[in-house]
Amino acid sequence: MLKKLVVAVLFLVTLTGMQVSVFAENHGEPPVKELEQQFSDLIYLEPAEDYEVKQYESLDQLEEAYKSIMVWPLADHYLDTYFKEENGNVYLIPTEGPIRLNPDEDYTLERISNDKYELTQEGKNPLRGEYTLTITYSYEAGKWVFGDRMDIVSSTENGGELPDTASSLPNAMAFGGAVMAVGALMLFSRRKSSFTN
Amino acid sequence: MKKIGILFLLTGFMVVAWSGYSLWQQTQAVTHTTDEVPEQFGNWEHTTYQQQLAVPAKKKMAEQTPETPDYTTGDKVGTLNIPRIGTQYEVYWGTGEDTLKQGVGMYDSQWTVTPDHPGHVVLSGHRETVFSQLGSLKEGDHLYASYDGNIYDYQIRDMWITDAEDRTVIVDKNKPTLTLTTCYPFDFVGSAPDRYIVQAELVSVETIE
Repeated sequence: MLKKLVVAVLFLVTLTGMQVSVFAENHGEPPVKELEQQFSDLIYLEPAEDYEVKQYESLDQLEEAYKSIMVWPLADHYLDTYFKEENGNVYLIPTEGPIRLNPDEDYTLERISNDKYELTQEGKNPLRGEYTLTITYSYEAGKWVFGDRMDIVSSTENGGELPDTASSLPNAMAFGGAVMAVGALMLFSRRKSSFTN
Repeated sequence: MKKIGILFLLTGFMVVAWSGYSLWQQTQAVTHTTDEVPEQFGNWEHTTYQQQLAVPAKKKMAEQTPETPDYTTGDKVGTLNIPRIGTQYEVYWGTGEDTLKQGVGMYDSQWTVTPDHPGHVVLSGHRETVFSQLGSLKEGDHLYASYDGNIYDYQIRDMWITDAEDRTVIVDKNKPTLTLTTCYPFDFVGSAPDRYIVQAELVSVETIE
């Protein structure tokens, strides 16, 4: 009887497992551990005493490495926050790094769509207290990359949302400038071609 | 081709002119007081630590406005003076998009209060127009909020950068605290990933004569 029950349970477990894999058939699940290791290697570069990063010759080179494992706005964010280039050398800005995933502890990996997964892990850190780490994985250009990473420190009471204090006007100005440039280019190229005629 | 070129040039010019004008108009919410710091803010250069007040203006407590004041979004509620960067701002009720176009907004929520209550006062402003110089403030600097017949003198305790999604800044406080928020990085164009926070504690209250 017990044997049969075990078999039945095992059968059910396999079936549920198969169903999940059928749903996510397109690209499978993101390689969480592997990506985390690559992220860790890129963020916690071993710098020299004066915080110079010797492994990379320029920020552009480092940017390429970052962009190979995450979407570009996220790569820009990490480069802006943690690195600077001076006299042709790359330096680490001495600050507390981002929270890393602890792959051996519990986390949930939720499938949002075939090319998007969201991972959540709760944790505690001596510096920042209790936190929630949320990682979004996106399937882009044939591989899984980080779409977003957020670590939110929780408090006993959740407070209000911080107001959006960025105006869109500088963007509008830049856009207008670009349109003007296109217009000028059209006029200029026309004049140039009429000269050659 | 020539006509299209001219059309592009004109359209572009109009967009630049319109957004430039709007931006300029929004910066007008700031009054520059660099030449002469108003008399009532005479102690602005004293940056040594002052004890925090536990309650704002004891005598006035009976006359204070109710916990949830009867303002409409966009109403002018007071002024903010920061002599360190030589600026004075009009403060309006609410921190929605329209209010922030007018100037500095006072946060209206269950966690925040007006300056006459012992709690958390939060003021927000656009990084490009009003709060562009918040980064040059230092610990110990004074922020003066004029509200309902009183001048509340706050002293800066801390400044930090946090994620735009952080919900641990705008929270309940049981002692009179003033927090300024704006977007960060200051020179970043477009919607910003971070916020710059300046937090100050109430150190004295004076009645405006």
